[in-house]
Amino acid sequence: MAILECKQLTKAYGRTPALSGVNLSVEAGRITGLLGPNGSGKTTLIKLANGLLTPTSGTILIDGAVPSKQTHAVVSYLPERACIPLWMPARQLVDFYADFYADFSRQKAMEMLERLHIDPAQRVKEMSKGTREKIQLILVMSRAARLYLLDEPIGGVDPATRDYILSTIIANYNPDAAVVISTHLISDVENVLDDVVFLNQGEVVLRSSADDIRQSRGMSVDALFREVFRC
Amino acid sequence: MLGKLIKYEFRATQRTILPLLAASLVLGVLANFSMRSIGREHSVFVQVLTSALLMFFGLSIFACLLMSLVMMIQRFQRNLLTDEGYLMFTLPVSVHALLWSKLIVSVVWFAAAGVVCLLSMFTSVVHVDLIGEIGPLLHSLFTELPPGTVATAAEILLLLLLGSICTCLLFYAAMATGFSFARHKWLLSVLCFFALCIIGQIFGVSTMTSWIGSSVSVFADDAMKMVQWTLLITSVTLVVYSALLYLLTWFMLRRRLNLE
Repeated sequence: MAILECKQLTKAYGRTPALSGVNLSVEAGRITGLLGPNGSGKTTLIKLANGLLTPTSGTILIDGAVPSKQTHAVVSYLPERACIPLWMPARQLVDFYADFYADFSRQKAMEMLERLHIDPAQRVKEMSKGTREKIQLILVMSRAARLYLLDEPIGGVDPATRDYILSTIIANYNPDAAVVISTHLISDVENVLDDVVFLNQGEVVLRSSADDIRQSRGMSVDALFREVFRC
Repeated sequence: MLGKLIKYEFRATQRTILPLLAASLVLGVLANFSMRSIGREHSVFVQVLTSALLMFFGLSIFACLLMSLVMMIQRFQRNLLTDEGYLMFTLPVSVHALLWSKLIVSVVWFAAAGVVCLLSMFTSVVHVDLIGEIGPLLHSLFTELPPGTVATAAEILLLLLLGSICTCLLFYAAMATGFSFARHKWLLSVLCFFALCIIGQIFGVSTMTSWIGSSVSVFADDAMKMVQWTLLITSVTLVVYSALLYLLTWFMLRRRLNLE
């Protein structure tokens, strides 16, 4: 059964459509790239999967259930912006996640903090933007979730941090889980993707495996993206 | 999960409010000494210090009450309606639990601020020799009370509790509605606040007018009973109004959440 499934999913903000009749399914054990230019509906789709938005029509199911507190327990979500409370020290954030998520590994989180030389006693507000993003990723990837929804995980960070983030995703995700990475920085994530979904103006314009694109079309995902979305 | 939410809500808020409450109590004691030295001390420095202490004491009382209100508004807005909302609304907890955790902690701080302010005001005026007589005084007060007074006092306390809950929900409902729009979120929140206040006034005044009109003849001979029933009807009115505000807040957060 698909872990993430969309059936004729439509979302409009007033009269402006953000997603139009999206049909999509994401299976376990796959890393899927949700790719599209700015404003293509990637973040809206991820917000819908997290129950932060309500569909205008159609359905979105996580492990067969509509988004709710039950699905939140199996989804590990990295928003596109830093959302962790600034007043908390890193150690208290680890406690916070451990308190609320049964699948959270405190040991894994503390190990990653140590590897990155992040002082657990330091408050989030005293950290740099890059460190905040790393902490957020550490917390998200320290869970043994069924579905990881990562919204622009490498946007706005330096190349070294990008490498760290991608290696953390690969090294820590549960092989029985699905990972969805939303980004428009294709070349950086291309090598970790199993499947790609191209979104444009709220519609799925292409769904394929990354290997198929390379073999049948003889081009990289990045090159295909540039061709499809040429201005 | 509600218990865990409350734990973190206390941790987030206590850093701000506890020092203020402690300062108010300490300043109450210092104000007591200051007031006793007035008229006895002729040094200009001591007189200035005394006046400054009394002024700071007054300010600390005001700050305690104001801060508990500001903190209630700020925590709801920052924790649920801005970036932190991405974390809070994706926790495996219901919107009800999120709302109740905010509500319970805010009401506890309202009560703490009220008690501390009364205590520090009492401390500022009480004479040390009278402290030993407080116990017997309270005992005689309670034994000599006219019948029905305890029930009335309990109703007043209940009314204060419901009033605190209603105040929180009024702000929550206004902010949840105002922040559901794409722009001018604060302005729309303020407008919603006044609109909800007006609706509440109309609801409250019409209920109380019809109650008083019908009860005057029934309770003409028993004023205490009429006061008790009036307090009860006011409480019920507050419960109904609060329930409507709660439902509006819940609906806006569940169905119209608009995190940027």
